[in-house]
Amino acid sequence: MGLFDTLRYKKDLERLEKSAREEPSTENFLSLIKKYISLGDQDNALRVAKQAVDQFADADDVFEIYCKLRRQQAQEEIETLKKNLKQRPTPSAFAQLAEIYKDLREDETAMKYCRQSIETFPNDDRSYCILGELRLRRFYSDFLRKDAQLAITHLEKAYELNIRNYRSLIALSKIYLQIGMVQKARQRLKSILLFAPEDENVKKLLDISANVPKPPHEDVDALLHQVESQRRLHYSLDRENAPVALSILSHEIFQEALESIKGAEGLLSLLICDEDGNLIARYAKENIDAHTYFEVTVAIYQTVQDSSRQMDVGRFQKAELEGPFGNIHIVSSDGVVYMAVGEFSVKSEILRKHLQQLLKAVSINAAKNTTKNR
Amino acid sequence: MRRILQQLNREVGVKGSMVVSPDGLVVMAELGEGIDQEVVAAMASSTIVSTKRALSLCGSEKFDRLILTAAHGKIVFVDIELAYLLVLTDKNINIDFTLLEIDGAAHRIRNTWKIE
Repeated sequence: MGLFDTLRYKKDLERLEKSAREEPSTENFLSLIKKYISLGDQDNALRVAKQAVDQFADADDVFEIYCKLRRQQAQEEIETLKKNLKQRPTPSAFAQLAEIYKDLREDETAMKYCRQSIETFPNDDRSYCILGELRLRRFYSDFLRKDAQLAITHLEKAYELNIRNYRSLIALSKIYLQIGMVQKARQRLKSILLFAPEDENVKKLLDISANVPKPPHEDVDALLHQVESQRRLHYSLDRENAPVALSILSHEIFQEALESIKGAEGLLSLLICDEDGNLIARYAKENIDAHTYFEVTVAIYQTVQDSSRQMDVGRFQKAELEGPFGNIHIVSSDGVVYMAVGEFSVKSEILRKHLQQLLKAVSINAAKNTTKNR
Repeated sequence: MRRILQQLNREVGVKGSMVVSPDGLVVMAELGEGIDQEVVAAMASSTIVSTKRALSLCGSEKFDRLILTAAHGKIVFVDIELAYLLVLTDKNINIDFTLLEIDGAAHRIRNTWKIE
């Protein structure tokens, strides 16, 4: 590379670094990461990718590139740790492997190493802490009670085994605070101050805890039940990124969206309801009993929603059912359930396409409505 | 049947599989580590029974296949006449590709029963 090329690359990099710093967006971060990769600078590419993932945790393209870089970097470490586990297992090797897989969001593999560690070294706190954090990550994304209960059990166990387990105590304090167990959160924060009296983060959380609205009873099951049904935390520490409660969308928005695709090929009925099964809008082909289809699809939705929770696969997203009656597709999105019934002859892909069109139409109508209200 | 399930479990993203009767009786199970067989069997049975009951309202109890997608995984139910083949997979798999393998396994199990 000549002098001019070097100067050009340097200038390009400075420009991209500045854009990512001053106007952080997934596009700006991705451009910078790709530039570093093209220059063969894997370390800086990974550094920027980590920053991007921390800021845009839900952006799939950002995570994909981070995951690729992290995996490349950790490959040798993974091999060495696995070899060590075969020859002479230690709690530290188990924990390191679990941490890598947790970072790569391969939760099942991370949990597997934690479980193996607990079986061999039941008195080591690290695996309980990682298991707790994995469950907590699920809880903060799905708001399912079961994940929070398991997270609390694992993190409390880690604390029981090591009263100075800072990570567990901080994670416990934050979850207790965010579900409304304010007293319990303050107890855990004060436990940290016993061995880290100057910790600024803990002091800040104690200040925040004074302003968290206190529920009438600090009953963990009741509070978690409330979080699960409302799909939002009692109090969010990440207030900027807290999911905005679904604005009250009018019946017209959904009905209008239905109108735009009614009569589509092979479609018998389209139904929209909330997560409790209350009908919002419906369409049915002539001579089709929409009421019966509604009863059928809602019953199936409630069944599969319950199954996915009980079988520990997280919050229900969609179901596709095929049989002699035809096809039924159900999609849950932002607290609204969309259900389509198709004729026996209609292919699954077609029904899937109809539902995607419906979701798109609802989102366009909702955006229009928001602009109008402003 | 165990061999068929073991072979299916070797497919990319398949975490475990089992054959379960509609009343929750486990005919054969090859589930991965960390999956609670009793809970999965009980919930599978409840899903099958409740779905059939709901479908009976529109005049047909039978369903051939149910694919359930959740935040952390997929569950596929396939009717194999006397029972259902249940397959648990990762959330990120290409389900269309895996369905070919699942249908193949279901077909082989049905044939095994016919021979027996």
